[in-house]
Order: sequence, then C-alpha cells, then structure tokens
Amino acid sequence: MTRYVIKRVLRGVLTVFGVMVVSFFLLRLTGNPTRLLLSQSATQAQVDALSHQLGYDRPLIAQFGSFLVNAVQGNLGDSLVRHTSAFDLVIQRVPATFELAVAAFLIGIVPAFVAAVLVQITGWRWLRTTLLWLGSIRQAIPVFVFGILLVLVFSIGLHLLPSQGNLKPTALILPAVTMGTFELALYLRLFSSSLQRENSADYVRTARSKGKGPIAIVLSDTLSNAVLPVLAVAGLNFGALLGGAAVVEVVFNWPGVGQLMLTSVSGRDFPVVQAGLLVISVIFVVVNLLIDLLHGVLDPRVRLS
Amino acid sequence: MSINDPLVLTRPVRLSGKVLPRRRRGWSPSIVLSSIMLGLVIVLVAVVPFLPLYDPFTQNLSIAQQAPFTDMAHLLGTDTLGRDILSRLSLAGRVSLLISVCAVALNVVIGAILGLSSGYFGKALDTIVSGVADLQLAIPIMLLLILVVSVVGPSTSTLILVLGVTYWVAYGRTARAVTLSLRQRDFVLSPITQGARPTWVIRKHLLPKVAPQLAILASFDIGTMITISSSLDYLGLGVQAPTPTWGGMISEGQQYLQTNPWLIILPSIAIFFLVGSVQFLSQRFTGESTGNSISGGM
Repeated sequence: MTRYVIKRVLRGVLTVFGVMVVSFFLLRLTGNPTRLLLSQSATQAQVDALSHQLGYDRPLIAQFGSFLVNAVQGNLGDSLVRHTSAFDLVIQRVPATFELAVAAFLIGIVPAFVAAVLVQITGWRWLRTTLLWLGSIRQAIPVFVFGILLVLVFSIGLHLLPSQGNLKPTALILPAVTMGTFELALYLRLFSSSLQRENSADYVRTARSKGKGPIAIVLSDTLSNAVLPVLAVAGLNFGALLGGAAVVEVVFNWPGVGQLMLTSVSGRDFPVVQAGLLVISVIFVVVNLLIDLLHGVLDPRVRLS
Repeated sequence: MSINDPLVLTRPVRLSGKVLPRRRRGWSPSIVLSSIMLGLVIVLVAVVPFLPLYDPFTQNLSIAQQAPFTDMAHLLGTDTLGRDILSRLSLAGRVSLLISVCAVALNVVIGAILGLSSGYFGKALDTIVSGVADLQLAIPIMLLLILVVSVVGPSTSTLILVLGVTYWVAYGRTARAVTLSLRQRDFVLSPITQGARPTWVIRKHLLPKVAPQLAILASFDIGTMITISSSLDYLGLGVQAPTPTWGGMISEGQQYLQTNPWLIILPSIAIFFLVGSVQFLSQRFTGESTGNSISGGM
C-alpha cells in the first residue's frame, strides 16, 4: 500500500508540475509578456523598463525557476486590475465553484445509481431505456443553452427559482441541474453495464444457488464491485465539471473561479487567469489522487498490481 | 431489449476496424428523426445562402425584433439590430461546421500520428506520448482554452488551431491500442523482416486498420466540437463580430429573454438539430453508445 500511495502522490506532483510548465510557457509563447501588461501605445523604453523590473530580461530557465518557487508559496503575481494577490482573488472564489461542482456531480451520479440498481432488481428495462434517451437528448444540448432554457421556464415563465447569483440557497438548483444532467446518461450506462457484468460472475451464481434473492444479491454482493469502475471515470468527470463550470457560472452569474477568469480575460488581467487555471488544476489533481487512494483501499487488486 | 434501446441500435466494431454487419435492418424512429434534423441543417447552411433575400449583415432598426413568420421578407424574424435571423443562422452554421470539421480533422491527424508511432516504436516514445496524454486529461480543458485565447486573442483561425490540438488524446489512444494489437501479427512482421521502412509499414498496413476506428470517433466528435466552440462563442472567446455564431446570437439574445425569447430559441434549435443528429447517427456506428470520447464536452 505504501508503494501505491507514493506512486500516486508522485504522479499527482508530476501533473501539477506539468500544468505549471504549460501555463508558464503558454504565456512566453507570445514573446515578451510585458506587451500584454502594458497598453498598445507603450514605447519600447517603457517595455524594457518594465521587463527589467519584472525580471523578464533574465534567461527563460531562471524565470521558470523563480516562477515555480513563487507558485509553491502561493505567490502567482498581483492582479493588474485590482492590485491584490491573484492567488487570493482566486481562492476566495473556490468555495462557490466547488459547491456548484459537487451539487452538479451528485445530481448526475445519484439518480443514475438509483436507477441502475432499480433496473437490476426489478428488471424494468423501460426505465433504463427512457432515462438513456432523455440523457442522450440532454447531451445534445450545450450546457449554456440548457441553462438559459431552464431560466426561461423556471424563472421567467413560472417564477419558481432565482436565475442569478448565489445569495439564496435555492439559487443553486438551476445551475447544478444544468451541469449535472449532462452526465446522467454517461453514469447510467456505466453503472448498468458494470452491474450487468458483475451479475454474470461466478460468485453471483453461487449466491443464487444458495437461495439468495435478487435484492440481497445486488445489495450485498454485486453493488460494491460494480461501483469500482465508475470511480475512476467519476474522478475525471469531476475535474471536467470544475473546468466546465466556467460557462454555467457566466449563464447564472455565479461568483465562481470560472467567472472570475472570464472577466479577467476581457480586462487583460493575465495573472488572475493563470492563477485560476493553476488552482483549479491542483484541486482536480488532489480530487483524483483521493479517488485513486480510495480505489486502492477498496480494491486490493489495484494496490497490489 | 426494445428496438429503441440505444445499446441495441449500435453495431459492434471489431478491432480489425471492420464494422460487423448490422443486426437489424431498416429505419428505426431515431434514425428517421435524426436524418430529418440533419437534413434541415443542411438546407439551412447549403440552400438558404442562395435565397433571394439572403443578407446576414444589413441592419435596419425600424424592423428590429420581429417575431418569426410575421413577415415573409424575414421568415424567422429579425434580431435586435433588425438583421435577418434566418440568414444569420445560416452563415453561423457554415462557420460552426467549418471550425468543427477542421478542428476534428486536425485532432485526428495528430492523434493518428502520435498513436501509430508510439504504438509501433514503443519504448521511450510511447512513455512520453502517454505521459503527455495523461497530462492533457488532467488539465481542465475549458480553462486552458480560456487561458490560450486570452493570450493569443480570439479569432476563427485561433479557434481551429486551439481546438485542433487539445482533443487528440482519444484518437491517440485508439490508434495506439489498435497498433499494439496488430504489432506482432504476421502481415506487419513480414514486411519488417524484408527490410521495409517503418513509415511504409505504418502507412500501408497499420493506417488502413486504424482509420475506420478514428472515423467513427470523429463523426461523434463533430457534435462535441460544435458544442465546445459554440460555448466559446457564447463566452465571447470564439469567432468575433460581425460574423454571426449560434453561441454569439444566444449571448446577444439573453438580455431580451423576458421580452423576446425567439432570439434564444431559434439558435438553440439549430444547435440541438446539428449536435443531436450527428450524435444520434454516429451512435449507430459506435460500439458503445457512451461515445463521449471528449470528457467535459460542454
């Protein structure tokens, strides 16, 4: 187990390092970043002065080294617009994005889980077929379109739910449903195919021959095994939710990291955009690391291989 | 299993790249429906530009925000600046299709080259390519796109290029898996022992087996790519005005949600018809109807 943990942690660290490399060199691809910081009309002398002040005239590797050292200390430069730490600005927004992503994740995975188990126990194929069709249709509608349509129906048409911000607790419902339903079909397929696969295993036949009923078999035998393959996909998808939240945050004016990044793009506030990408990536890596470790705890085959 | 079951509608695909014969012939309701949807989109982008009153750009504030089907000169009504919505939908569809087809093609080429060569040569190259692929999956792509576009500046070519290099992982993995499964087969080993160059073996013997697999993935991903690019358009990071985009039209119309929902509904229908029909049709050819090779495709 120790080796497994060390391996996973190393991989996580390596990924974070990779993200830092990408986000650092992306900025440098366009040449001297001071051009991005100053206005279009800046003279060459002004550019040179700021380059020297910010250290952009040093060798690239040296710059990357100090970028890494600073980033590890949570220092990702100051916002050019608000003149405070870009890292702090992003961190303040993290809880809102996280709340939205978790809610959306649950809305996607819980109904899929319940439906898959129900279908397995009762044999109601129509339930699975109907849900899969609804899910497929839902996947053909981009998140921002679906969100606006929900606003049209539930906020403007029925006056039931707030469409903007996160001041009221009910404001979470529409954005979370918008994102969560996108994943419903995916999880339903995953769960029911892995339940089905477990159902034809030898240990299920043995359980049946001992007179165990279908409900007892699902609950005490197959379920725990069937959850395992879904775990890894769920981790990756949770990361996609964290990233994809940007669009939903704009639709619903939800004060999360994505929305901050997008307003910073229009203000050319580059450090904030970079800090946003780094913070979300680190959260993503940590979540996946935790899921990997959980996978190792639950399934001995994983940690021993 | 009922006929409508998406798992039944799909045809199994063998690793050799050959599609097994369809179990059920004829037209299922979903195929008819998605063909109609696709047909309407094709009419929109291919026929509408030749109509006499096609004009996506001229503004006329005196006829702004007409509802659909009230004026024969503007069949689907006009937008906030009095421009003809039907013409704008048509032009936006052409731009969207151009971007997504080019971006998917670029991804397929990159994925095929990396996947084939890493599967064929193995060793260090394979380790590096797999590592890069893992890294790419670990970065929230939407945020990466935002970062790139903020540096490079939004434009049609930026969009194609950026989308074209960020979604190759699924193709790379598929190409690599197929290559690995065929690497030790006689028809690959034989030319090698006779001194054939690797590029020749890959092109003549491996590519033909890999290509059909990638084509199947790609047909689904055109829909996903339209979803992603129209999301970027909606955020103002995609194609820039005055060129219309479906996402951009929705973003403009959002302010008038209460008074004139048509501004939103019409482009939404266009997106749904195109993405839905492409995805439903391609699901018929995919082995697994999960089909979603791009994670986080929103």
